[in-house]
Amino acid sequence: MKRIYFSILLIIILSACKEMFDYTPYQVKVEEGDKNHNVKNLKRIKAKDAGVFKPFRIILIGDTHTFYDDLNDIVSHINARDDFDFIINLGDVTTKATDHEFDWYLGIIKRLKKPIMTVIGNHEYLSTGPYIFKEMFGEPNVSFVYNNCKFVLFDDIIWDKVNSKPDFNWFRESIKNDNNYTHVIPFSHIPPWDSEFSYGNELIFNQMLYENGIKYSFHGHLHEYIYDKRYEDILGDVRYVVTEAGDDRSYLIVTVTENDLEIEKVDI
Amino acid sequence: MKRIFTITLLLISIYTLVNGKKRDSLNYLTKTDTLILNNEKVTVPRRAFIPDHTAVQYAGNIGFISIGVGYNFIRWYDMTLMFGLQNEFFGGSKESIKMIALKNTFNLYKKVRIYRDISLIPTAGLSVNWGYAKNTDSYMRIHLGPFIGSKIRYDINDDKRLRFRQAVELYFELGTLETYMRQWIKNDHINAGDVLNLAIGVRFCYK
Repeated sequence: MKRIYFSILLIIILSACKEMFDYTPYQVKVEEGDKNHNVKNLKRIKAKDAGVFKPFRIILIGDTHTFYDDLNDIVSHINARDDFDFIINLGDVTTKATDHEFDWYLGIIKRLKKPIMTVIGNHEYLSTGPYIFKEMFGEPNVSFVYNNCKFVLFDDIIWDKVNSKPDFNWFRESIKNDNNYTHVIPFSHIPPWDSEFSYGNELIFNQMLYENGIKYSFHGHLHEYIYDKRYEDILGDVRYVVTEAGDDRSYLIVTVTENDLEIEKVDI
Repeated sequence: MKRIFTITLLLISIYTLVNGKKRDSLNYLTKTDTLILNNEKVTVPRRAFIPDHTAVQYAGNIGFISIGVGYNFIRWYDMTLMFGLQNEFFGGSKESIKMIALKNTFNLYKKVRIYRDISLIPTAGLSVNWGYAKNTDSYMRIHLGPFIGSKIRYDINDDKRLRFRQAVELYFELGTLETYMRQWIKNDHINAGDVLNLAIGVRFCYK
């Protein structure tokens, strides 16, 4: 009798496992349909590009880590509105960059009706995370033009990349307003005043933005909402905006108008 | 260096597998013990560094396929050092991943005899897994893998008076990782089926 109970229990447990065998948590194994998510979404964004400037809205979320329940609610809340064009996630979509965590994140954001671009965060640089990210989302450094506004998604991770320098040359070239764009808006995970940046890097970052006439720079990483002119005393009046984390259950809605950007925090 | 170490361990395990019955051939590595069996003096080798068991495992978060050697320290505890591999051909990972895992297995109960020499032993344990990818430019995280399972043991030679008892064990383990478990507890979105996985292995025991 005991044996029967045991085998029934075993069968129940086994049938609960969707994928019965996990080979390693580090595996770089992305299914064909899940590859190049950023590239596919960029095509969807470009398909609606008006070519000339027209006011529009975007939504920013960040540091969703493994707060899957909260992310689920945020996605439902975003899906209920229709007054924006696309979403940008400012990085840290996993905690330990394992294969499963990437799959779980992708499973949730696939529910979004509007396209989403994902910036790479420092947690995606753990273990084999960068390879999985490149397979699943595409290259981390992306720039594109939408409604005559240039969006620059920049990978500025330092420590978790074994202290290698971010590709500042690419960034400097990308944020140049070389085609009379209405706005150039950079997005990167780590804000320059974080301890990952050396003091030199911090000032160079701000100087690059100032010299190219950029008004706003968007970041994640700090898990709190920040909106200030950080380096007003030193150089320029670039406004730095930081999103809250997934468990704060909020997102930012950015209205892009001809002269300025309006930022509003929405709590759900 | 790592490769030499792995190959040496592999050779030792193959050697012990092949020569499992011919104990005397291992004398160069071991001392001998004298036992009294049926009123006769019998000389048997005392093992020094020869592992108590070797194992081959499929899946279980330590590679597509892994091999290992280990020691049965006490009746209810044994330790196995496993070397695992997953690459494009074995497991379909784009990056080739090598893993080292220290598996601690606890026998929860004495053997339950099913049929003649075949018995069942429930087990539980914790493995410490560390991976290595060749081209990685980041820090590889160590993962802890708790598991429960059971092994079906077939005793080839179960004479208690003999120092060396040989057996073949087929084991099944239901395991997870500490990071997955944390997310399962924290999130309703993640269910048990997403975090649990199965491992199957065979173990050759010389003790």
